[in-house]
Amino acid sequence: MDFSFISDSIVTYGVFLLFAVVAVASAFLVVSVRSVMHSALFLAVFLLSVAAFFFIFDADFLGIVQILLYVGGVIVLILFAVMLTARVSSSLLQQTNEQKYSALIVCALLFIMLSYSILISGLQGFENTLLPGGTAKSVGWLLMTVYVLPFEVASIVLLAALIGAMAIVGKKDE
Amino acid sequence: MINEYLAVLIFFVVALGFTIGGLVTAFLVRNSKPGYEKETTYECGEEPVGGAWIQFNMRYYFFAILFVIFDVEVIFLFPWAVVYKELLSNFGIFAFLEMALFLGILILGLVYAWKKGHLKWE
Amino acid sequence: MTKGFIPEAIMQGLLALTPEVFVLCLAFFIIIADLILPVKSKRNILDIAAVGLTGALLLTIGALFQQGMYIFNNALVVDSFARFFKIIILVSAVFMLLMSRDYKALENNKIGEYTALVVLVTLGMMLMAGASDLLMLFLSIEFVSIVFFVLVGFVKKDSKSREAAVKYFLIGAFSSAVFVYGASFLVGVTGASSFPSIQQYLIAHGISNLFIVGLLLMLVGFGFKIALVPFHMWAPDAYEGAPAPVTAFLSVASKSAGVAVLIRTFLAILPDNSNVNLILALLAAITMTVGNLVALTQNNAKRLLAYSGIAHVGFIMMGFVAYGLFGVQSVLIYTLAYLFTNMGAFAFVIAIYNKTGSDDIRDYGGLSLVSPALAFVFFVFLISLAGVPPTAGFLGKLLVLGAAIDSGYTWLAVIGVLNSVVSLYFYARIAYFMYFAKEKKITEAIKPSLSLNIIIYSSLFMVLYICLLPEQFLNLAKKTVQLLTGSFHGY
Repeated sequence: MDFSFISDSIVTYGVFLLFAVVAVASAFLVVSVRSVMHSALFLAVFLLSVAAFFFIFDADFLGIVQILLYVGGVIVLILFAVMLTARVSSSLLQQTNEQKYSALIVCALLFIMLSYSILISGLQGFENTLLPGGTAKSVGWLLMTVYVLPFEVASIVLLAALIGAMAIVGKKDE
Repeated sequence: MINEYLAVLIFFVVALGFTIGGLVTAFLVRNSKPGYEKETTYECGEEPVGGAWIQFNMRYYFFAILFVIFDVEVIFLFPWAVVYKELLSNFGIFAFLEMALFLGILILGLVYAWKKGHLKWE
Repeated sequence: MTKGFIPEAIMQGLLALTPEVFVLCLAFFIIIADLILPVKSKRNILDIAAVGLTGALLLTIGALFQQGMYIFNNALVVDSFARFFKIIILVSAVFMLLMSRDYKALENNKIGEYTALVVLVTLGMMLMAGASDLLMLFLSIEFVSIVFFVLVGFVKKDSKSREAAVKYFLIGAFSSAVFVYGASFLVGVTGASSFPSIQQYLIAHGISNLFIVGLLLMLVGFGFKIALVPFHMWAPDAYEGAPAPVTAFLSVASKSAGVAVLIRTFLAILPDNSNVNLILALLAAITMTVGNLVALTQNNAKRLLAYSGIAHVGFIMMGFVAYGLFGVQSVLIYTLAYLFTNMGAFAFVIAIYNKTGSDDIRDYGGLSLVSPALAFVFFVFLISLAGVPPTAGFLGKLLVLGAAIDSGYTWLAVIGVLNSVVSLYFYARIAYFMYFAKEKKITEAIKPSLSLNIIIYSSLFMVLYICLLPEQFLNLAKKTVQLLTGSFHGY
């Protein structure tokens, strides 16, 4: 079957819009649902839709990283953390409080500021970014040549995180 | 391009149909006789012990963090492996050394945790 | 293309980073030493680390005035400005390790992890001081933040320490998110991540609104690191709850590293500062005022020093708002003065805590009777914090105020002077309890250990020396600023 009579950009735009709605809605639910467990699960939905953005814009490597690392790793870690808390089974563990209205105001102000400046100066420059896209090849080349120092420092950060985890969790005794 | 989207859409529809279809078919053909045994959590034939909402032991957390750390490490290995040949022809053995250093630092951390007895479950 | 194992450019970069590589090797060495040494001699690890960091300090001082250059594809810049802050970071790290030697709450079997983390965070801050690429900047800030989250909550038995760590972590994670969001706008607008490339873009295309918004969002991240006022809420709790050596380290080293990146970033990628300058000036004024006013009612010494630290950041920002040679120079002198004054004051708080087990300033009564010499030295540190001559704090404050007036911010300077007067009250209050309190809580002479004495007396020497013979320090600061690499503003 040949569907090439439908314009590519319109379909891309539609798919993007679909995932954008999913992303914004799930992000809103993350901060507004009562149960911490549910909000962690909505966070997974949000991260998956961000992964979809990466795929739509041909950054397949970043999309895979997003799913493997964030949905597969970080969300598991967050769920672990939720299950570690003593009060996980009681309904007392709520994540919203009386400051939600002031938070809403701050968010609205940020939104206005951002949309104002985007309307004023446009997104000029965004289309011709100097950094190549997110395929495994370009990411690998950038990491091993231009960003070789941040790459090595990342391993030191991971080492520090490992030692930090050892210090926090600790052992019974020696 | 448009055909790629179509492929994803077909996959999506099939996956959705498979799960929903299975549930719907089961709902239509089964006869409903709920009982205590049937309503307990399915644990591959084992008797479930306690509820699902228990407080986890803190020590699990170390392993979870360890998992994420080495998850990140593997993610970094992948793009390196993809461009390794090109790097080798451009920079020689340095292409290998930079990854060796990266892995070496993390392996040192693992050895540290191991020797200090954090990987043991008492 | 290349002959040796390592490409020429990388080798050059590594040579320029000799102190950092040295500190990294030290961290590895400490990890191995922790595995080998028996539990009862673990305290020696702290000494090893202190000696090693002193070595790195000497390496850095030796190279202070070497010509600045970009290394590792513009990821880092090594110039005298970065080295100046590296020296401050290394000095406070050495002091911090000396303080930890007889900090009771630290268990022997955790010393290895503790020291390794301290050395690693020192490395992170050294990288932070030289970061000149948004990716490197974010990575080093995260590095430092993550390790400090752990260090703040290191004494797990103390529920205050744990609470402090959680608060610090939550606000820290939030502000990092805002920071990286802002940085993404910068990358989007300019299509580059390193400061030189961003500069080139700005010279060619001018500055856009969205760029400023991105920069302001990044300011949130910086503001968190240096505890600027709307983002300072974590500071008092974290300072009070953290182990005292960590508090001292956090308040001096982490803050100076934050000031370093803030100044470097704004000088490098903000050509015409006028649109942002007013915001910075307002932040400076609010920071000073809130810090000083809240400090008036504090009774816990660590908490009081936390608020006083917030006020000092306000003064540092005042010098920075002035921009220019004089402004940056005054910031350098102020930071140097703050390093020795604050470290000295914290050494006292620890010495008294080790004796009495209390951080409450109302329990300092009778100090002047049992150990008058020590009480007087403490008094010197207090007047240096308040900015009274003849101490380093006075010189710093004088320069900062001068810089503000020089660049037309007279109203800011007036607020600064008023704040100094307010701050006199609560510093004098500590002195009052030491000298005149009716209730004499301290009845035996306080004998600080050798390591605390080293900190106290070397800090005292520097505090007086900087003020009495300021000439060479002014020259040093001037030369440092003149050798600053990659600024939009020629000096």
